[in-house]
Amino acid sequence: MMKTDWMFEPDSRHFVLEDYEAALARWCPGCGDHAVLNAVQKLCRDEQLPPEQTVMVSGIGCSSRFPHYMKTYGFHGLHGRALPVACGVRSRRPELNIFVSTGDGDCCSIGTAHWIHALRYNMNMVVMMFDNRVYGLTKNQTSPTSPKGESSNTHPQGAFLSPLNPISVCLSITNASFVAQTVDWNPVHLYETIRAGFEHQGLAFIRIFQRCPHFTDHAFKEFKDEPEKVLLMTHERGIPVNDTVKRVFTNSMQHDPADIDQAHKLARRDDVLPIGLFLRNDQSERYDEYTKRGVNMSNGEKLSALNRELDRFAI
Amino acid sequence: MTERPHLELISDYESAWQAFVSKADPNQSEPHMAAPVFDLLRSRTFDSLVWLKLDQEPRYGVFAKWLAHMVQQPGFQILTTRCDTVQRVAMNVVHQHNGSLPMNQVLEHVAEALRMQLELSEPGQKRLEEEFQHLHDATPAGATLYGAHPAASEKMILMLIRAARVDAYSSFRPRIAALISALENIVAAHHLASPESRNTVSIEKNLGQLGSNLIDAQKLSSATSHVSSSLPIQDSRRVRIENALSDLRDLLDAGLGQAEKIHVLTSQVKDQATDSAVISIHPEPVRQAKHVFDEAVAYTVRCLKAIRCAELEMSDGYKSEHDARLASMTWSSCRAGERFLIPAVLVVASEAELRREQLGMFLECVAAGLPLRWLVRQSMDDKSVVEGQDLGILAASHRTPYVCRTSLGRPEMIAQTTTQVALNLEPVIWIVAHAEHEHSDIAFSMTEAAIWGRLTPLYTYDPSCGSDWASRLDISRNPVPELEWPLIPNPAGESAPLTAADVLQSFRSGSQMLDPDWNEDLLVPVVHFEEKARQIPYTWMVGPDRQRLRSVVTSDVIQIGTDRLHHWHQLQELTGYRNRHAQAAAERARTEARIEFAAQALELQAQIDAAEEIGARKAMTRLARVLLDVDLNEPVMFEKAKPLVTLQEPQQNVMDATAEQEEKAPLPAELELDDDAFIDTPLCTSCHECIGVNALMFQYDDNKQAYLADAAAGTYADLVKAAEKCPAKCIHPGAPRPGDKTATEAVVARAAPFR
Repeated sequence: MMKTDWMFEPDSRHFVLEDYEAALARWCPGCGDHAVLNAVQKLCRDEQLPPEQTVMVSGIGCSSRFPHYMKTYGFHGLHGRALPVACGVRSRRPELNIFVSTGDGDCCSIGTAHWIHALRYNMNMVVMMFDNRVYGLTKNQTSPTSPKGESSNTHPQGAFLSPLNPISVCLSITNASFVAQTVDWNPVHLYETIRAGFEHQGLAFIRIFQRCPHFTDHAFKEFKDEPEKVLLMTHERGIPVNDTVKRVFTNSMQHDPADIDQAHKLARRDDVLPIGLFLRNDQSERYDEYTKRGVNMSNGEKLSALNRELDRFAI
Repeated sequence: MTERPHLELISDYESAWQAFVSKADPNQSEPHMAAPVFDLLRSRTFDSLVWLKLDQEPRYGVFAKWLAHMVQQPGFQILTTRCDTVQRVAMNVVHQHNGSLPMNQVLEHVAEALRMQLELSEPGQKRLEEEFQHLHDATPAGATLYGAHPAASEKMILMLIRAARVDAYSSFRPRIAALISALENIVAAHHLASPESRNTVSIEKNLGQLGSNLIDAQKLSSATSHVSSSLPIQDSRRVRIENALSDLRDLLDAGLGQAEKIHVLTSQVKDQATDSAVISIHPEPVRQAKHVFDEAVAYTVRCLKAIRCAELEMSDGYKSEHDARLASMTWSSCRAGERFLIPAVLVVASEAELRREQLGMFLECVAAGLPLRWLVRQSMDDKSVVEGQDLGILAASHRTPYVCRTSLGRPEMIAQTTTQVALNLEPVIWIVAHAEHEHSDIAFSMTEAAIWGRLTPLYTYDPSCGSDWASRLDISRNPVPELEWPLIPNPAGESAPLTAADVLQSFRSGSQMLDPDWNEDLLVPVVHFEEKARQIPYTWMVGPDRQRLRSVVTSDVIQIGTDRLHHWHQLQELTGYRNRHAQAAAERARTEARIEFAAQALELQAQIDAAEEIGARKAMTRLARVLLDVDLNEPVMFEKAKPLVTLQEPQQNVMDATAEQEEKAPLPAELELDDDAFIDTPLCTSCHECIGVNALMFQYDDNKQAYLADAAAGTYADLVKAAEKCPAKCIHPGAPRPGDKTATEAVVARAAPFR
């Protein structure tokens, strides 16, 4: 029986990849940011996220050009201040889908205070920390995650200090609920990690190892050439891995994302590069549950509330 | 329903036979069952009673199974041994009440009959009452028993359709209330934006003394409608909403009545009406059905329009073009939860009646897809049964309707299919075969025998199950559907097919019996009969002297049996049990495989012979050289040995020489053809490196991941360069294409790690 019902459905929309593509990405050819951009656009398409209901927030850096390349709402913020802006959006517009792109310098250096408190606030959003171990936009300065001895314009003789471990920091923050790590050169695992973060209710912090073809192309070469040095963390509550991922990363182990002690041990390992989900705690409190109160008030209700408050001062 | 293995049914053949013979009365005019048929049916007789209850969700079951389970419980003693009597009396009671009676009332009748029949002592009677009380307590509340009576199928279908519609209405009612509430809110919002609410005095009152000092009420009055974003509603919209509200309120009040109402159209005088049915007696019920449906569906369309209008208004999605769409709306726009709105029209007709004058109109309604319900009664006395005419397949050929062909021998099939398709938007046709007989067990036995003899094969045609016949048509409810005829033991204890002729002989009185000392050389069982063989076909019957005798099968019965077999073959073919095309294709494939296997064996043997010849030549050559004292390190060339040169163990200097030759020579043609370039697309990181090398050769797919669009659009050097640049190492350049001048030794060497 031919149905004529479709005529009466409210105008429905179907989004394709092009609906999320804005300006042509001006990152260098070979840059890992392209892979992350593609993964986020695919996620938006697969989840059919309305562009007007999606917000990309960023700070400053190569990766923070992200909002320009997405045909959604975006906020290219101040250096290190992506997370406060994102938390503000989340507080009063809880219906929006929020993605934050930030870099190792943006997040772990100038934005450290916001980073720590945003993790504690645990507002529902996906935070993608692009870690290329260098300040790339400003042409090769040492970043908090640059390896010790890594030469740069600020440290021509090599970095003096051992790098900050963002995963260890995240795991130590009270109320953190989702901490994962992935690499840009495996699009399947990258996509699944961002997707898992999107589906998580709370702040999903994802550190993405990302190659800079100009300054740190050598940084991850050993892991690309010898995939067995990448340790694939798997678990039924972790990041889903299919055969394509298993075919590339043959070295794997079971890690329960509820096991915080083992997560700390894995984060500290330097003989292998662990990828997957370190921590997941669905019971963590969410600050946005409190901040969204009253967002549905009508203008009349707001006026009445204002009158009630003013009446308290009537003489 | 699970079929019982047919071998179990006749395990106690001799005792069953004796029981039947002892009861058979030669003076009765009833047809004598052919011996195998009677035995087959004896164990199934009690399956004719089903119970059905409708309090929350329709549930049904076979009464005999329920009873057998109950009397095995602790507390039962008398009824444990009288189970068959209870079932038999229950069958008769239900039959006398036109095929249906509440289960508790049936049990009361049975209890009374048993008390009179058993003549128990006082303690025994008390005990019997207690046991019946246990049965009463365990009876499913509100259950009704239905038996093999011609009126039972109509009652069951009416009850189940009504239950499904009322259930659907109950589920949908909150939705109606929500739509009404939403529309009322819209109207209320309009009222809030009315001039009264913007009155300066009322605003001052709301602001209070302090607020009035801070805010100018006059200005606020002029700005209020904009501040609250509730501009006055347009008149056309208001009228539209009020109309929809009126219709929805009416539906809220009258929806239950609409769901319960079922129009029953028939040309026969009804013996019993049900509360929910509107019975119309009409000489041409089919023609009347279309009129009734068309009249009733106007209300349906009005309600659907109101619902759609309310939904669009709720989402603020009503546009001017919706006016025309709503105006042209029909009942087919009904969604799953709203189907109780579709008028329920049940046409009850006999197959003969339908076939006579109203066939054209019937098929017109079916082809048009009108959601009418058809109950076609097929009496076992109809010529159509024995002549194999099948209205179900005729209707199913229109592809739209749901067709269930069954008989009163399978009442649970009627209950199950009705529950399944009660709310279908497509036409539903039940063709129910029944036998008219004053004794329920004989009526049931005849319908059951017709099933086993393929006279009335059971099937369902469900358009929702797929697009081809094999998916839609289901004959699995028939006994042993993969065989031509079901196998049952004959009086000689051998397993023999039960044919349509066996069953037809049972229905006919006056069959010619053969004397026991007839010449057996001339006789042949009906299943093995061939017309050219000049033999007399027979089947086993019960004779007037209560002996097993052979009965001669006449030519018309043979013809009917052959026709039924053809019909059964076609059903098997449509459902894929015995598809001749598939069998022929499989046979062809087997033949081709045998030929290919033989050819490969020949080729293999030729290779073995060649290898043996080479080995012998090599051995002889080496022997000759040893004898002639020739240098063994010198390369040995065998013209015919070229394809199998790897079998030999060449000397070191031979390998070196070969390696040098290979370096200078072009690549082998086989390698070039087999080693194609490709991209492991799922691993592509979309980094633009390869696109930058050659945008014609590499392109992005729908996921913005690279694939090799045209390997001929660039050079081998492009491929290798892209493979080297690719961060995911997912480009595999393969072997160079013939004639590619960029495929120098150096480039091929660079490509090696990626191949």
